[in-house]
Amino acid sequence: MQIRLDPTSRDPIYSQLVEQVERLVAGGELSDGDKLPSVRELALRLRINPNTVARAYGELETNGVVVRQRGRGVFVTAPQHKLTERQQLELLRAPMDELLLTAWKAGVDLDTVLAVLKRRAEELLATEE
Amino acid sequence: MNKIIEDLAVQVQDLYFEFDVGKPVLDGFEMRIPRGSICGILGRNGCGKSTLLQCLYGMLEPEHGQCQVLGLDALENTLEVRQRVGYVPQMPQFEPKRTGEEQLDFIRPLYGGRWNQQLENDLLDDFGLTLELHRPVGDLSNGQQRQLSLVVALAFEPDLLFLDEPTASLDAVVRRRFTERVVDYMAEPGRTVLLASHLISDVERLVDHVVVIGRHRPLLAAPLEDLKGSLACLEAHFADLAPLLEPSPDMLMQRQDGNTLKLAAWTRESSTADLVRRLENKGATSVDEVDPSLESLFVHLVEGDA
Repeated sequence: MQIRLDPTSRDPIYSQLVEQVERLVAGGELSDGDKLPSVRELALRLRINPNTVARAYGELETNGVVVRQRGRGVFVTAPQHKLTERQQLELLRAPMDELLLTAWKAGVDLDTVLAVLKRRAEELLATEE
Repeated sequence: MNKIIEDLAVQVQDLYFEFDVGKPVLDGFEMRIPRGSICGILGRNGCGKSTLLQCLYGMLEPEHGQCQVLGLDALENTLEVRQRVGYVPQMPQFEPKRTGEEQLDFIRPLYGGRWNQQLENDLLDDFGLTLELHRPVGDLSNGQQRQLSLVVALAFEPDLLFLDEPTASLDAVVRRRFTERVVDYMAEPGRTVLLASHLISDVERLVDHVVVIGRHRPLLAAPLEDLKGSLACLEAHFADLAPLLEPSPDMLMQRQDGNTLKLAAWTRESSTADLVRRLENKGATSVDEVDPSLESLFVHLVEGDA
């Protein structure tokens, strides 16, 4: 489970954690029944206050993303529904913004970005086959 | 009322302390730290962070005011406070000629049944100190002495932990191990950490409460989330000498510095945009928002208080 926190951001750490777990579930990297690290484990790994992890898990439970089973741990409970088109686009937004911003800064125009993106996609598809 | 006190790990009321007559280190100091938090006590060097912790640990007697620690008076119940609070001072207070083993033999009985021998062994192992215990503590490195000090502070499983500049002058590896032990300590519910530091980027990911000390007293004490979410820290630039805004209850500080006005205000009632508008109505040519890293907010607040 790849979590990257930015403690200097305005968003509280617990909500960054909630958002990233939700994104991992939405993106299929975490699926129904997967066990999340214990509060202590994750806190140690991220070097954050265990209460922050507990709070994030509590919110994920309220949101119906995980379920806490006494003595066993915290499990992903999200049904594997297909993402709506809006959710798909939502997932793309952050990386897209980053790509565009990098392109602007480097002075690459939009047409070039689109062309490069298309070429790269073809390359990746080719290696997958 | 009792319930409220129980939920507070630390409560400081109207504290006044001075080393030299008429030169207060702490003056009118008020602070309430809820149980279960990791509270960063932030301030510049010499602002009284260590003095505050020493008052809370019953080592210094203030001129007046009260320090309640876990519901106990720090001066009247010093012994009980010390049996429940782990304290890692800035400078470890070991007798340099004694070996680590001798220090521990001396300290263990002070905590009676609370001392957890298994935890002591684990901590010593984890810090790589087990094989160093036969050496006089004075021969250990600064980092090793601080780690030994942390072992002593944690091994009796205290309800509250005071850390005074825990990571200053330690290398990155030791710093990380120190942090991990604090995280591990906090995994037990109801425990509290007070962490005095001027290395703010070090503590930003760890603390959930922040007390920023200005001149002799807290400039601000709030959950980190509120500090980042409901405090506007702005720097407004003017063509001429910067004017002040009319004071209001949510204004935390404002300071003129030539053509620049630095201000910090709570935005629970209003919004940052309202403040910007007020500044522009006063003739501000541009208004910058301080980036929300704790370090930038801290510098803004403390400079504004100078």
